Amino acid sequence: MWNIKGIAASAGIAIGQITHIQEGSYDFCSVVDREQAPKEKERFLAAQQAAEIELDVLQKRMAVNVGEEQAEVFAAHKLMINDPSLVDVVLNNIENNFASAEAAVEDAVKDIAAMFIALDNEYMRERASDIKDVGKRLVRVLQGVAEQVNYTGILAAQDLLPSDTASIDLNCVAGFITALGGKTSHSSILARAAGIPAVVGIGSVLEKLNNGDTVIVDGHNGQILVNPEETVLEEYRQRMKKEQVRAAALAAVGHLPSVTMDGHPIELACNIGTPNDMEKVIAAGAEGVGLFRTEFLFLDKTSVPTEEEQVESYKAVLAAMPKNKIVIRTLDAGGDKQLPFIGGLTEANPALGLRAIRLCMVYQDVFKTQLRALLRASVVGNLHIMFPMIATVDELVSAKALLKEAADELTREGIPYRTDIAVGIMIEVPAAAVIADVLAEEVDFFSIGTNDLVQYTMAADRMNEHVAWLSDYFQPPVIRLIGNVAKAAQKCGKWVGMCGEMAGDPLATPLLVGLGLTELSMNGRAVPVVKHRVRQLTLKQTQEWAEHILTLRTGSDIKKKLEEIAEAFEI
Amino acid sequence: MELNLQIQNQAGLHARPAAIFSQKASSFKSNIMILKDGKNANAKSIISVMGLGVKKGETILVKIDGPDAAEASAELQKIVAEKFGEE
Repeated sequence: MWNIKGIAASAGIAIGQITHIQEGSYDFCSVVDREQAPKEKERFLAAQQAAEIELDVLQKRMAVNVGEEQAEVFAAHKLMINDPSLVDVVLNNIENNFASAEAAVEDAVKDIAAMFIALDNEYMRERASDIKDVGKRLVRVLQGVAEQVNYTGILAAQDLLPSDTASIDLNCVAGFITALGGKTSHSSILARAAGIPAVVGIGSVLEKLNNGDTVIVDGHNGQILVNPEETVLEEYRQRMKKEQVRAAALAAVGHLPSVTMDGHPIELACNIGTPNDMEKVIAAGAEGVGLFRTEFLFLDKTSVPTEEEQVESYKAVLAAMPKNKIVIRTLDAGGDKQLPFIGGLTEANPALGLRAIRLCMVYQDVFKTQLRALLRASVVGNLHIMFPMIATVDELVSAKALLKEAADELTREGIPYRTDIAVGIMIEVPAAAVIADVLAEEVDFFSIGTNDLVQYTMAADRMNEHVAWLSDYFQPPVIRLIGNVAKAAQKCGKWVGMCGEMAGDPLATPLLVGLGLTELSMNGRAVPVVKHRVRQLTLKQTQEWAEHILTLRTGSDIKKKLEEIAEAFEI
Repeated sequence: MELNLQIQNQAGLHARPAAIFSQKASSFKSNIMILKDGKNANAKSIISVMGLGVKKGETILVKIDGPDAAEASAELQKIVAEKFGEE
C-alpha cells in the first residue's frame, strides 16, 4: 500500500478500481501506401459521419441534463467537423502525401489550433480547445474505439473539462482523482454538486496509478490509499457505513427549521445560477436564495439581453418563493468571465482588473437596464439587490445613485416597483472588509464571498495548484476579516450572511454562527448537513469558541480546533 | 467581383456571426474568399472566418467569383449590414 496526498475537493469516502479517462493516445502509421490513399479518404468520410452522429447524441443529452445553452458547444463542433478548412486539408494531405487519415486529422487540427491560439482575443483562443476536442473525437472514431461513456469506479484524469463531463454517467462513478485543479476548479465543483468524493491536484503521480488498482479516495482529508491491505479496506468500509447512517439522519432533518438549540434562527439559503435551479432550492429545504448569479443571462450572448428578457428571469426566481428572501447579485462579469458583446479587453491581471461593479460603472447603459429589470421584477417577491466587488464607499454610493436613477425613470413612466427593496453588497475584497464599519452605514446587509476574499487576502490565485495550500478559508487573516465584517454590521444593526464555499462547510458552521453571521447560502446538497449542525449548537457556546479561535495563530490550529468541536457531535 | 464590408456588430466575427457568414457563403456556387491584413480565408469555412479574428469596426475585402456572384454579393452585404441579427 502507498499513499498520495492531494487536495480534498469533495467530502466522502469511495472505494473502487482506477479507470483512467482515455486521453486517446493511439498507435497508427502516419503514412500509407499510395494505393491505400483512396481507402483512407473513405475512412475519413465515414468517421466524419459517425462523429457527427455522436455529437448529435451528446448535444441532446447535454440539453436535457444541463441545458440548451451548454449543449450548443456541440453544434459548433458539428460545424467544425464539416468545415472545408478541416476537411479539404485532411483530404489533400491524404491524396498528396499519402498521410493516414489519423495523421492527416492530427496535422490539420494542430495547425488550426495554432491559428486560434495566435489570435489576440481570449475568447477566440479558447476555440483552440474546441477544435482539439473535435480532432480527438475523429481520431478515436477512426481507431474504431467507441466513446467511453460507461466509466465506472474511480475516475483518474489530468482534469475534467465540461465536455468530458457531458459523456460521463455520474451515477456509475464512485470517485474522482485529478492531477490538476484546486477546490474551485470545474471538476471539484461538479464532484461536490453530484456528491462524489474527490481528491484533486495530485500532480504527475497520477501516472503511477494503473487501471484496475484498488484505491480508497478519502475526500475528507485529501488522501488516496493505493492497493490497501484488507485491514485498511475493512476500516474504511466501516467508515463508509457510518457515513450512510449519517446520510439517513440528514434526510430526516429535511424541512425542520434551522435554529440553534437556544432558539436563534440561522437562515440557510441556496446559491443558484439560473431560474431552473429553484426546484432544487425548495427540495433542499432552504429558506430562500442567498446568491442568484445573473451572469448566465449575459455570458455566451453576442448582444445585451433585453430588459424584458431579464424581467422574465428575475420574476421566475422571485415568484418561485414569493415570500422568501431572494438575493440577486448584479452582473459580475469581466475577469475570467468575458462578455462577448463588450469585446475582449487585454489586461495583464484580469482578476485585479475591470470586472464586476467596476465594469458595470463603465458600461452604465448595460447596468441600468439590469437595475430597471430588477426593480420591475420586484413586484412579485421579496427582492434583495446585491452589488459585487465593492471596494470603496464611492463605488457603493454611485451604484446606489444609478439604482435611484433607474427607479425615478420607472416612476416617471408609471411602471410599478417595490420601494422597500433591500440593498447590500458582497464583501469579497479585503478593502471592503477593512472599512466594513463605514460601508455598513450605506447598506441593508452584507454577504461575504469567501472564494474571492480568500484569493485576494492570501494573494493566491485559486486556480493555481502551486499555491493551493494558501487557498484556505481557515487562515487566520481570513477569519479575522470575517469577524471584523460581522462586528461592524452588528453595530449598525445590519445582517451579515455568507455565500462562498465556506458557508456550506459544516466544519465552519460553529465558527460562523459564533462570529455573528445569521445567513448562510450554499449549494443545495449542503443544506441538510449544515442545518443538522446548526440544530446541535447553542449561540453562547459558539461565541466562546469564536473568541478563542480568533486568537489562534495558524490555519491548521484553527482547523484542528474546529475538528475537535465537530467530533463532539454525534453525527 | 469584390466588395469591402465593414463589420459593425459588437463581437466582430465571433463564433456565431462567423457561423452565419460561412453558412450563407456556402449556399452559393461561387468561390468566395475573404482578405484581411494579408491573410485570406475561405468564406465557406467557419474555422477560416473565425481565424481572421475580425473585430468590430474592421473592414474585410470579399472576392466572389462564379455564376451566382451578384446574388452572393447582395446577400452577404445584407447580413453584414444587419449585423447578423444582433443589436
